[in-house]
Amino acid sequence: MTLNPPSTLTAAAGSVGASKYYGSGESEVRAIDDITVQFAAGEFTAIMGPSGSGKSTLMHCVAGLDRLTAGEVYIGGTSLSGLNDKNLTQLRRDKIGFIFQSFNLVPTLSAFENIVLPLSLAGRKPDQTWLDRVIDTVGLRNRLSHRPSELSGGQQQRVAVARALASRPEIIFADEPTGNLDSKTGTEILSFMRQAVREFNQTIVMVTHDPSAAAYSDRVIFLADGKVVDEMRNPTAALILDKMRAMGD
Amino acid sequence: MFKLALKMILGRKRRLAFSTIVVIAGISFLAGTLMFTDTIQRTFDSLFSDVFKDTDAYVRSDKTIDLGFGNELRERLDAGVADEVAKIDGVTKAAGYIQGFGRVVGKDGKTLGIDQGPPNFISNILPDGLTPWRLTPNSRYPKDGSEVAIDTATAKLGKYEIGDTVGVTSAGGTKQLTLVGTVKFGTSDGSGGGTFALTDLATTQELLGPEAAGKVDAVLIEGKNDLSQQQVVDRVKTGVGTLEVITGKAISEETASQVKRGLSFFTTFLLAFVAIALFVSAFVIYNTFSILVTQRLKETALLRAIGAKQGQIFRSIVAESIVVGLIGSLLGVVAGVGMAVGIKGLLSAFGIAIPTSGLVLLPRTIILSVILGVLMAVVSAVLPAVRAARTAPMAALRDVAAESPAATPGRIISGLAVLVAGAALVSFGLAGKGAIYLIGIAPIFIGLFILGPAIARPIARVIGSPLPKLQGITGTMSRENAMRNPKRTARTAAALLVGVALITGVSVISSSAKASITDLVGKQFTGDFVIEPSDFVGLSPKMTAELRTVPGVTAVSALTLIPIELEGKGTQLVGIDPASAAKVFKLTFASGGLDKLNKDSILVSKKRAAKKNYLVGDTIPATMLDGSERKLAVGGIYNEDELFGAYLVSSEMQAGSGADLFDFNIFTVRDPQAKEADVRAAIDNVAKGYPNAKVRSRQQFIKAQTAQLDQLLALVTALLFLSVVFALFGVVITLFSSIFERTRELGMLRAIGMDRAKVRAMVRWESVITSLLGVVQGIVVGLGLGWAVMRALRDQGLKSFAVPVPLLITFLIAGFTSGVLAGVFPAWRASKIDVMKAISSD
Repeated sequence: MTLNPPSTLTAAAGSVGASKYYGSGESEVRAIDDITVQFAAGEFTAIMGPSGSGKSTLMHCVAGLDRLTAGEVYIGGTSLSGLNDKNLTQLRRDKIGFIFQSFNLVPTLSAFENIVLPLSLAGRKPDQTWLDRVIDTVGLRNRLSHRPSELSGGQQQRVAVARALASRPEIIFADEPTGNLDSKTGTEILSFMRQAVREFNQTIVMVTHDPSAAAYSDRVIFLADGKVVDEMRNPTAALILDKMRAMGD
Repeated sequence: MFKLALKMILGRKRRLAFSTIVVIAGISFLAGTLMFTDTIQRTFDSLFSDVFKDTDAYVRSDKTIDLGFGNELRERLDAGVADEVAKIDGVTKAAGYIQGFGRVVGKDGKTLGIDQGPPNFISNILPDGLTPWRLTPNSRYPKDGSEVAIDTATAKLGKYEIGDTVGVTSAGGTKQLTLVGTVKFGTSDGSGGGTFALTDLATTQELLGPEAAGKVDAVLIEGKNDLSQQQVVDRVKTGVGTLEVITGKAISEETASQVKRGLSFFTTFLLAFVAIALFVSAFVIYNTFSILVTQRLKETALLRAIGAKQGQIFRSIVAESIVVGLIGSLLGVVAGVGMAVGIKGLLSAFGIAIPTSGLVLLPRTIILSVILGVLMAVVSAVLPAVRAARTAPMAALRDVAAESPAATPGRIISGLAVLVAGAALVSFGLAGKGAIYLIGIAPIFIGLFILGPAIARPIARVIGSPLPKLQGITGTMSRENAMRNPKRTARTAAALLVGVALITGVSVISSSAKASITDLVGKQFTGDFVIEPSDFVGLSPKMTAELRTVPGVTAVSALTLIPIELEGKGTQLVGIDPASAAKVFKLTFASGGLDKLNKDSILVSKKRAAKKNYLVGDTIPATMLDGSERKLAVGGIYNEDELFGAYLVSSEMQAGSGADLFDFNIFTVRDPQAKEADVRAAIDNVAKGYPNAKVRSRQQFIKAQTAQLDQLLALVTALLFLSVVFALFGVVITLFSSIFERTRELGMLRAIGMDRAKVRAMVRWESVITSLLGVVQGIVVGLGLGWAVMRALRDQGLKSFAVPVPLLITFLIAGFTSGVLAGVFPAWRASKIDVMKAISSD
């Protein structure tokens, strides 16, 4: 199958011929192999695939956390391959939001301090109206002064979502954001993400192995053995499950 | 289990390397000190085995005054004794020997060597076989009173060559002599840092002053070869009346043991600092093992879950500590070589030059180092090992390895209890119930260590309070991180606290003593210029006489030291000039007065008089150096006991008592009509003839009284500084551990946009807070310590309490800087973590 080359007008991020190899010679492992993909602005994309398919590596490379062996990745109009560590860090701070599976928050900071952390690191004043809207959306108004240890797992993940949204990044990357949560809380987090895409036109890329989580997205990209093998628009959990069963064969 | 321990060690090389380095550091100080003092010992041993090599018998007076601390004064003999001894059958050689303080003068007219440093001597030459000195090539001994030989080290220092004219000064005056020889003391260039000049007997006697005329200290005797030393002694005894005769071996041993006594005091002084450093090291090792055990909690729990017994866990950790102690102490001995060289350099920088050659490594040093090193490591590991052994198997399943809370009521109560008990003991001691109660300082420290974790958080919060403003969110995180594990932070800071508290305490004592002395001297000395000697040689009384003729000087009054046995105890009393003393000192009397002071009377301080029930007119029995008994009438009771001590006598008393006459301070008063600069110039002009005389104005004199305190303070600080460095190493270890534990958090922070510079800043500021936590607490404790000691010394006249504020500010700045330095490597490490590895779920 073929994908359109990234257009800086419509795509928030993307890759061209992205490859990441580990080791060399006999023991060379191709974590991702010549992937060209783009993530459209304002869209909620899920990346799926069995473990070892390279879905996390792809996300890490596009998010500027890991470096490619070959190819290019873009955030907005910026190619990441030319950036040094300092510029890359600044790009992550200003243009990208992150939601990890766990260890999202700094335990010594309050919920509020965690939410505005990337802004504080940049020395920027948060946009108060926007911040209020984000905080109210995730329903953390009366938990702002609490430390992470005083919050439930779901509340902690809501703080992480709020942090990712607070700086109005071009794109949010979520790595198994519901992996550590029970299904009810997980649903809640996914609804917030969905809401962010719908109401704030936020671009989100989420890595998951859970079909019901992926069902919240606009578009699912399937990876296997480091390559994009398929994609699906307007997915449902049942359709995804069918696709994955087919891939498993 | 030992195998398991070894495997664990190999698996954790880097972390255990930290504890090993701390053992190496602590033990190297111990081994270095022992090597250094053993080397001095050997140097002196070899010197003294040479000194009296051919001396079979030694004749000296039986009259002595013991001044304590191994310092003994002995009456001199008539020089004629040597001639009489020479006539005794069996004696082949007999030579009179006289030695006293005297100093070689440089080409520029100024004395050579270190002022207020090691003693400088002059002596007469002895025949070969009886002298410890060896001539260098092209040298010879002086043949008459116009010639001199000096030690090789001094000749080098003064750039003197054979044929030059060399000045030699002593209490009897200064002489210009022709240099005919340079000599070595055995194989050593000098005899211990001071200058040494050799002349013929008459010249030495003349230089030493009128009391030395026709006198010698002792007669050295060589007997016939077929006689034993004891046989020579027995024969000589028959011909010298009541004089003391001992074998050459005995005098050799006696001299060596005097040096040994001085050396052992010095060794004890150094070892006190070694003990402090070892204590601090043990604390750092304890902290390191605690951290290791906590980090290994899961692994330990897993071992327990699969069936390891508590004892096995305990033994495996103790075994680890034994290996650490063993390796660390052996490497510590090696590092001790460098330390020994360092200590020697440090001491010579403070004017304590000690002749040494090579380095002596005794088996005792190795054995002691290994025993102490292992002991230190094992003792430090026991508590953490017990904690590890108590790990529940279930802990393996728990997510985070959290330490128990720090501020438990039990901790606060027990810490306060120990602290209060210590403070009570100290206040008992200060109330005069006995110095032994001052041992309460130890419980005060222990109480603080127990309380430490409970107070670490609030103190760190205060210290770190400016950080959020200065550094934004990075600063907030630094502060919070420093407070995150209060137990660990407190333990780290406590090691620093010890050294800083001691340095602060010593500084406070020193500055208070300085203030007291300045106050006393300023109040009681009313003159204008003071002449002081720059060494033990003292000032020639001729100078005092000469100063009286200087125009513009209205009064001259000198102080002298008179050796005497008073109330059964040997001492040196201050002798004053009754006619002029009142013109330069403020001396007031409760009864009697200066007019009643003569060579047969004594003045007593009010305090001493009250204690002994002395009244004016009472008599106090005394014995002079020559053994003559005196009955001294109490002529007056004076009020100012702080500066002058318990007794004052008249300087005339000394004449004919057998002790050398010299003045140690000459005070002058200027005619108010005369110009100060003119008088000063005239006095300086007189001083030119007395090379070791230092002329000081009133202000300079007051300042000079405390100069030695400054030097002592600097030396003590330098020696305590090692403990502080070891403690800073603890800060580095703690930072590394916290970084290691926070790898994921750091990874996440890097991912969401914290750049490397900010990560480094975060770690650095955490380091600064930890370091300042120790320094601030140390300063507070040190202030308390200093105050307590000054309270205890109040009766000694040290009434001032002065806080050296600029010095304390310097300590804070140093604490800040050390924090930054200690943080450099951990900060770099933190900024280099692999973000991908850190954030990957497992």
